Amino acid sequence: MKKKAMVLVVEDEADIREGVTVWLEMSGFDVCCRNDGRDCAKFAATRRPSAILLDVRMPNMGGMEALNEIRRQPSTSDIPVIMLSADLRDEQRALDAGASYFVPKPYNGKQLASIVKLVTNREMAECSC
Amino acid sequence: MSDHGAIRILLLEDDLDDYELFVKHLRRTEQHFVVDHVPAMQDALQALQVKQYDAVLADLNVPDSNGHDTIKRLKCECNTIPIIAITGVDDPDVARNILSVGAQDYIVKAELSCRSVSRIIVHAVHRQRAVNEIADLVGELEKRENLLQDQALLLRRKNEKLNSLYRTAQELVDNVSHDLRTPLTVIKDFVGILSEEILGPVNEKQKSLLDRINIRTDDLAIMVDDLLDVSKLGAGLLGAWRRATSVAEVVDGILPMLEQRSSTRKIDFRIDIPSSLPKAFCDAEKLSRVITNLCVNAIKFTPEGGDVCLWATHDPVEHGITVGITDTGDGMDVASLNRIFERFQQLERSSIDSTKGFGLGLNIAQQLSRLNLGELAVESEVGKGSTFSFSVPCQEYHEVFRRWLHYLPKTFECVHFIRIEIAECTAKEIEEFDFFLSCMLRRDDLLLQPVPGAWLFALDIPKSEFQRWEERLSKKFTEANRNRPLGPLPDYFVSAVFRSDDTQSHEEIIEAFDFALQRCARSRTELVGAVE
Repeated sequence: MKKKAMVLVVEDEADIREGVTVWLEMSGFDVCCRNDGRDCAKFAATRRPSAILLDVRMPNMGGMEALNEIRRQPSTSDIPVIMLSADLRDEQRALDAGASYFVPKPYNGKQLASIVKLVTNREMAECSC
Repeated sequence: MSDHGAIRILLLEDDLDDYELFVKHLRRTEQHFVVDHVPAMQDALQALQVKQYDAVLADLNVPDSNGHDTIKRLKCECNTIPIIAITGVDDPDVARNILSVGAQDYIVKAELSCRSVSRIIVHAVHRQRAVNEIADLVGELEKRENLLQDQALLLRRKNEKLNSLYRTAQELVDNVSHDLRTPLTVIKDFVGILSEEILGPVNEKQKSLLDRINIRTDDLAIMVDDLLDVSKLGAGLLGAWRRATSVAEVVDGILPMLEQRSSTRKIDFRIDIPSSLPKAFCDAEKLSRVITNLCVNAIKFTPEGGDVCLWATHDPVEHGITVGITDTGDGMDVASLNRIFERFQQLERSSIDSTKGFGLGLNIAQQLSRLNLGELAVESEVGKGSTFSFSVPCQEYHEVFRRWLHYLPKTFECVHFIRIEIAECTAKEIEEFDFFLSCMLRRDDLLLQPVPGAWLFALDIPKSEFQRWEERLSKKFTEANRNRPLGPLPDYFVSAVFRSDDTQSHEEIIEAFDFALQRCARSRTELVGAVE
């Protein structure tokens, strides 16, 4: 059986993690979750997810800091990262810091899943050439 | 001096002959002197306690006091009355000594004449009076200075308190906004999962209920935004980050929500935005909020089967874009029209149920349109429908500034133009710096980027506040650069290029703005040219 692409979901709200997981699993992804940005880059380096969904506001370590770590680390710098936030002003900062996409909250699950599909397919296409 | 112009003198003299000589001299002058005679220091001190004198004439050597000690003791008793020493010897050292301990002048017995005595006394009295007045003034000044210092301290404390309140309010609003939106996000997401039948089939009735949950959740989300906006507007926390914005893209962002809402209410919702529409220069989030509020309102108050049209047109003359929402609802009469922009105002609409809100929507829509430099207007006819429309400027800075000046509070103090530039920089650095500067924006500030890498701030702050503003900029810059993983922001140059005064009219300020704008672009070319 073909191995499913894995998406790392980093979000402090359990309900949002659960909702996102439903949408992504429906779209054929494996999902791994974490509660905050700590060790997120380390996890990404060992497990190599196809994409990372990253909330901006989280306790302990927020999404911006985690994104910077992911981008700094050569083994994870190429992983597409989709940032989520309820604050629209985060969009510019997220994109400046190297996020591939910014999705405002409340998000539309269907759209979110298609964005993840889009970035992971693009990555595969880039790999194959 | 007494009321009649007489000078009251206390004469301390133990020698009766000398005393009589003095009195004789004093009587022979035009000035009227009243003389009380005492032979000893003790008597003099007592007399000074019970009576008012204009001057004291004191022989240095009396039985109970000697030399300059006599002056010292008298001075102690009456600091504000001139003391004139009477001495037997004309010795400069003695004279210096006497004057240094506080005597106004001295008289040498051998040189006594009626003219000189009178002159010396009158001058001493006048001199002392001037000294007393100066001392009073100095005392008054000191008192006022202390008062000012106290008030400055009080103001500083109040300012610190206000600053801390401002920060707390900002944090509170941010946290409340995050905390309220999170459950709404979850509800909307779960409703989506159920109605998309991901976890199993849903029947028609269930689907319709889920749609309504979704709409009511959006209502709640809008109300949360309204409440936060009202509190931010009230606290002056809402600044506008104006940039080139596509109206069509903003509409795209809220379209799914509006379409779902209108289809549930069986309303024909149409969009009429020409593809040739130029970009608006405004805060996209606020634009989105205004359109959302107006559309939701229109859909809410249009009966089933009606039409709602969201349209936009370009007005090349005004360098603006007009965005409007036209509905075929009940319409409003003139009396209602005059009230609808007031807070908490929701008109009785008996035909439509479940349409209650805070009644904040239109008031906020109007305030947010003003932040985007355009006025919200309404035309309505009972039974035919209403059109709400507002204008936003295009990216034409002269027009943007003209509108900004128009919307400044009428009591504006002083308009400053401040030019900020960064030297060598990439497009990304410019973008980051633009974001950094946008964090400086307060409610009535205007930030423009006439050419890449050069910004023009227009601020309405008192003259004395400019330095403080500059300090705030530099503090924010240091803060922004602390722990910045992407490396520090590029260094900037700041220069104040204009400050208006009370006498200048709007036209003159606009002229100055146009000039500043030109210079901003020209200086940029020179700067970049020099670097290259």
